[in-house]
Parts: sequence; C-alpha cells; structure tokens
Amino acid sequence: MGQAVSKLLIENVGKVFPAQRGGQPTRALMPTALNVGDNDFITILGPSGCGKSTLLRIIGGLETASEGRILLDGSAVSGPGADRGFVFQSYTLFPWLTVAQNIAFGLREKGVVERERLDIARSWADRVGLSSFVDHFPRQLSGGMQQRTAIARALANDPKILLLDEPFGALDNQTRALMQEMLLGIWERDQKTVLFVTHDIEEAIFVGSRVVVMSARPGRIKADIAVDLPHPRPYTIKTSPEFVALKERLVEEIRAEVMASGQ
Amino acid sequence: MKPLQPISAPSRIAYGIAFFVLFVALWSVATFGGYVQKLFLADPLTMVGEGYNLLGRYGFAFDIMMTVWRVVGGFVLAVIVALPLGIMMGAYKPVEAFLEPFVSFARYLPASAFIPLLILWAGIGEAQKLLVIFIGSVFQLILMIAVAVGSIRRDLVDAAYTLGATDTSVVRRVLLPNAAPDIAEIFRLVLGWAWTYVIVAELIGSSSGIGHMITDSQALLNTGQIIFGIIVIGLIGLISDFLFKAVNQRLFPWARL
Repeated sequence: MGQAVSKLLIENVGKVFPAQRGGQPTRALMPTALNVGDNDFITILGPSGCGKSTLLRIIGGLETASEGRILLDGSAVSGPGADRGFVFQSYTLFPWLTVAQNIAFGLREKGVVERERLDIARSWADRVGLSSFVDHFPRQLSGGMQQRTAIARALANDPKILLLDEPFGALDNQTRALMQEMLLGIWERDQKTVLFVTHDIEEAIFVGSRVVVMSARPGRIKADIAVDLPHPRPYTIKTSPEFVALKERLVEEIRAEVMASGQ
Repeated sequence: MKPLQPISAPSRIAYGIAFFVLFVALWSVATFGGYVQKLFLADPLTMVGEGYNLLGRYGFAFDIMMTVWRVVGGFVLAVIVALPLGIMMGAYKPVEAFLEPFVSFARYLPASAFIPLLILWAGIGEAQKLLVIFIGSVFQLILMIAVAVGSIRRDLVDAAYTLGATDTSVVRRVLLPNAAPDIAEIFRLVLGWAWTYVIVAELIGSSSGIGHMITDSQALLNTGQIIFGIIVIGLIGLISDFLFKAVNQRLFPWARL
C-alpha cells in the first residue's frame, strides 16, 4: 500500500497537565508514535478521557506537547495553521457570518479575492448539500447542517490534513449515519488525509481505513487495526460479516479499557 | 398565566399603553380629587398647559436641544476614548491587568461629585457639562466593552486559528463581530445613564437646558413645569431607546435568531 510516504509523523508525543493547587501533575497522554500515510483515513478510537482529543488538539496546534514532536510533510508543527483543517465536536460556525461567508473564512485570510472566495464557498456548500442555505445564518440551521458547513469550511482551505474531533458526537443516530456517508464520499473522491477521533466503534470502522485504539488514561496506542473493507462503502456494509467481526474485536478491546479506567 | 408563555404583538402594545393610562388615572385621582395639594403636585391638565407655555412662550425647545447636544456630545467623546481602550482590554490580558484595577476604581467615583471640581477647572460653560457626562460614562463603557469583547467562546477562537487566522484578524474578524451586538446594547444602556448626569450638571451653574428650566421652576414653585420637564426627558429616552433597538436589529440580524 502507499504507506511508504508519511504525510504526518507523530514522534513520541506526550502530554502532562501541570499540577493544580499542590496536587499531582496529570498525565493525559503517554508518549505516542504514529505514522499517517498520504490519503490515509485513520480513526482514533478510545474511551472518554483517554487523551485522544488531546492528541488531535496537539496535532492541530491548539495544545502544546509536553514531549516529542509532530512533522507534517517533513516540517515540525508549532501552533495552529491553515495546513491542518479542524472540525470540532461543538458547533463552531461564526454566528455573524452566513454559511457561504463561514466557508470562505479561511480563504479571506489567505487573501483570495471575493469573487473567487464565493465561488469556492458555493461549490463546497453544494458538495455538502447546502446549496440552498448559503445565505442562512448558523442559528437557522440544524446541528447536522452546521457540522456539514464546518467540514466544508475546513476543506475549502484545502488543508494537507483534516482533523475531526468527534464531529458527529452531538448528532442523533440517523443524521450521524448520513454524515458518515457524506464524509466518506468526500474522502473517496478527493483522497484527503484524515484523522478522525471518535468513541463510536461502528463509526470508526465505517469511515476509517485504519482504526487506532487508545487505552484508558493516560492514553497510549493499544492497537492499530487495518480496515480492509472495499470502497465505495454503502451503509449496508455495516451488517456484513467482515464488519461485524471487526466490530466484535474492537468491542472487546474497548471494553477492557473502560473496565480498566474504572468507569 | 403560564410562565414564559409569549403574547401576541397587539396585546403586548395594549398592555404597555394600559400602564401609562393607569399611571395618569392615578395621578388624576390624586390631584383632581384633592388628595394632594396643588403646591406639591400639579394635575395632568396643568402640566400639559405649562408644557404648552414652556414650548410656545419660553423657548423650551432650545433648552431641549441644548440638553440633547450635551448628552450626545459628552457620550460621543466617551465612546471615542472607551471603544479602543475597551477592545484592547478585552482582547489583551496585559492591557486588562494594567487598566482594569484603575478603571474599576474610577467607575465608582460619582460623576456628580466632580461638578464642583469641574466648575473650578472648566468654568460653567459647555466644556464642564460635556466633562460631567464624559466622566460619568467613559469608565462604565470601558469596563463593559472589555467584558463584551473578552466573553467569547474559546472554541470559536480556536476555529479561527485553525483556519489560518492571524492574531490581529482574530481580534478584527472574531472578537469584534462577536461583541458588536453587545457593544451596541451597552451604548444604549450607558446613554440612558448619561441623561441623569446631564440634568444634574444643568441643575448647577447653567443658563440653559432642561435641568436649568427645572431649577427655575422650582424657584417659582411651578410643579407643572418641573413634571413636564421630567416627562420630556422620559420621552426622549424612550425615543432614543427605540431608535437604538431598531438600528441594532438592522445591523445585527443574526444576534436575534
């Protein structure tokens, strides 16, 4: 496979939160190493509080690592930047901007002229199925529509890698399933490099080409499992024997971790 | 009545007017019914008549103009100073640490207590009136604007950074638009307070303005004129409030969604 080229190199990245009020410092993430190949779709799966979001935020530059370093296309990452698109679990569209203006936010930072900005924004709105909502404000949209806009906003910047932190975590099951298909469709067509954090096992298998399982806090990588399901993946694949077998295996892995963390 | 149950627009207006009617009715009963002496409280009709006199014969419109100009002038000066300072304080923590303690202290200094000092410094002319309003509003504005600018969801700022925003564009394109509706609302509130300062400033050492008319009328025991003056202030407040709300709704349609 195309694993030879590493897009993103995570070299022994760990995180310790400093002590608060005379307590002990908390280690959220053990030194972790991970190679992400070009066009990989990696899902990071783990129980809540395992440090998977911390790892993603460090890659996104929103948090600093206590140790180790991150290389994107060979150069070290420090601080957030347009080369790493980020989609948050919370709704982070700018409420004062319309859908089109939100999608074009990063383009304006880059100095793209208004006409071209709007063209790109419209075509992305179209791709996430929001072409008739370009002039709506975020508060006029459902949660699913807001997250679709957030994905379009991150992708309109044409980042080298797309980081998603439980983007569908707040959505209902039906919407969530549709969003997974939409995201997968975009990836199948555009071949983006994607890191997707989730605690939903089915979601991790359905969208990912590799599932990285993390242990309970302090987090470390416990398993790295290839998902050899064909593309394009219809939603019916979720009932196929291969899918179910993979799911059973991951359920066991995660279960052990949840028990270990005493929840 | 169900808690928080909304009501229709017509009945909202009807309720609002009903209280004014009730207020005037009670006032009429108290005055026309002879429960309160004319010397202490004029009845509504006398008040209207005195108002007509004031406007028609004593050039009260000029006083109103003077007062409005003082309020607006002092307030605009305060905004010019407070807006950049408030934004800097809200956006940058060192600036906040530098200014916040002093501004918090200064905002408790009563503007009216400065009047004797200001007369000493600036005389009894327009500069003194503007300064009273300026002192009364500038510190409040700075603090409230700083809070509005600083109270942004952290994840919106994070999102902007991941989209390639620079530090200055986070302030310009995220903090400012986020705070803009709140800042407009702060202007509306503080302008209301500025009205109380201007009257106090005009009560002392002034030859024009609504406050000046009120002190004159007090000397003549003309309660009708005093009440008319107070009602005019209330009406101007009501109109400016209404205008502010209308403008805010037009400028920031997203904030009301």
